[in-house]
Amino acid sequence: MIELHGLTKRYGERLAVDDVTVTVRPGIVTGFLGPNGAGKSTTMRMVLGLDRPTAGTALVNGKPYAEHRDPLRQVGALLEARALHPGRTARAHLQALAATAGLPRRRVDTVLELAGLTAVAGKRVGGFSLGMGQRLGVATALLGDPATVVLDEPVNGLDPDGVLWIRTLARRLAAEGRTVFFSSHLMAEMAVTADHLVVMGRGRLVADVPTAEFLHRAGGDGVRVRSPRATELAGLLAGPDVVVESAERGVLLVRGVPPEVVGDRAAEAGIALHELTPVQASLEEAFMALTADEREYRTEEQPA
Amino acid sequence: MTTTLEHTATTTGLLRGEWVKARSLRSTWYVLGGSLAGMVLLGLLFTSTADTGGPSGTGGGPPGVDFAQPLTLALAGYNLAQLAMGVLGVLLVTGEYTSGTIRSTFAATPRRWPVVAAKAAVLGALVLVVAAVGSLAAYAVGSAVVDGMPGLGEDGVLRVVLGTALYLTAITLLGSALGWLLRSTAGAVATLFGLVFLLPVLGGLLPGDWGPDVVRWLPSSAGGSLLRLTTTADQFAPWTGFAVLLAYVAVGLAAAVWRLRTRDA
Repeated sequence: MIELHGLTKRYGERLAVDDVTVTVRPGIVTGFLGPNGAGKSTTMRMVLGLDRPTAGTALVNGKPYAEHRDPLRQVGALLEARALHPGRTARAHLQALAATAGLPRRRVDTVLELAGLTAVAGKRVGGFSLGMGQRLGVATALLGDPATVVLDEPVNGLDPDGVLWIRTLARRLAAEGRTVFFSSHLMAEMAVTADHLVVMGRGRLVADVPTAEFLHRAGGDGVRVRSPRATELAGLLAGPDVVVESAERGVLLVRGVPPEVVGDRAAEAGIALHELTPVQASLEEAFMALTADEREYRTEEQPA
Repeated sequence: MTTTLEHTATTTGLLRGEWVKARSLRSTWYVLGGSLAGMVLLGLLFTSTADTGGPSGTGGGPPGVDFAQPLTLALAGYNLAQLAMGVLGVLLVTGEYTSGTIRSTFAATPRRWPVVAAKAAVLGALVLVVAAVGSLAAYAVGSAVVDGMPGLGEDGVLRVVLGTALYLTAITLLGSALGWLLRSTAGAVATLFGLVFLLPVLGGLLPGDWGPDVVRWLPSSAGGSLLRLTTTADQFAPWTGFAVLLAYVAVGLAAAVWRLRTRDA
């Protein structure tokens, strides 16, 4: 469990994290979304006590990170890709941490196995590919068999095989009752992996909702209609829960009416349709819709 | 949770962790091996050319080496070794920052000072042992080559031989403190060289009536008193001088801890 209360981080004039209050619960995968510079990494660093909050608190499993006697048992983190010394072997890297934390040596072999790195355990990390480095980073995070797992952009640089591995692993860790908090800028990845989303924009909390609701909030599914008499059709479709948008001339995006109804109404009025396509709101669209204010704010704030 | 793992961070664990980190890098062994070889081989070179007045035959050689004193000649390799070992002190700290492993280090030990202390302890012990072997070996080689080498039992000789190892350990720890404070390899190495090599030379350009009073307070000049059989009025007494050097190390490490507590990792 991660609890953030009024968490704030200021770098000089800039508020990197602005009064964020959110609880990341155990047993589910919580995705952490936001454009670059939204404050995701800074938030994660404060959770681990690496950065000092300007105001507010970050509690992990009920206590500030630094107050835990067994920190690696509490939280395992992959913060940035390749936080590894190139001259050290994968095994030595894990052994040093295991020794520091007082963890049994067998944990080193266990996580090497888990990350599929047993064969290269004796190789220097300098020769590792991005994906292998990332796998070792995940192995490092899981070394203490932690109750809470924090992963910053874990799928970066991974091949499809690795992406699938992370996805399965995240879901399994959550199913074991752990708190899984991971960030990614790959929206599609979030849509399939995360049960719950925490969204940040410009340092502020923008959303804290189940993934399904997040998608629904963006407007849900719709129908794209192309017709020479689009304006007339729009008038016929109007109703209480119906939203009709027109991004270009002759094309409508209709929400709140199923495609069959759109087709029937057009036929009744003798309006020819050149296209009738069901469209699904993507996570990208949902995200853009939700952070629109944040992005406008950014433009206003930086006059040319 | 499917498994339970009992563990707590302990002092021994922390020391073992730092030991694994130091020994698992090849650079550690290259530097220590190079220092050891340098101490013995330079001692051999200087002592075997002693009767010709030094390597150049004119009494030249590294500054501060008294060619009339076989003991100083045999141990003159420390000049090179302090460079290498000081860099090792810097690297074991800045390497954590450049590679990013400092984040996992502080994740495993969230309090900062035990990390600084454990790194200094492991590094200090390692360098002390290697430097002691190096200076004893250089002394033994020198004794075999040159006539008139004072015996280990003679006044101050053992102090100079083992003092060389203590001095090198202190310089290494000074490098470590600079590494924590500056976090950059280039910056910390340059500062260390400036302190140890450049400032004493620049100090020599100061006016004669007060210059020496400034110079003897410099880390390498103060600590260097421990490596002299006899000290002049311009220099600190051997152990006083070494205490001054240790004070620099202590202040440096304390500043490092303070800096780590106030600054984001």
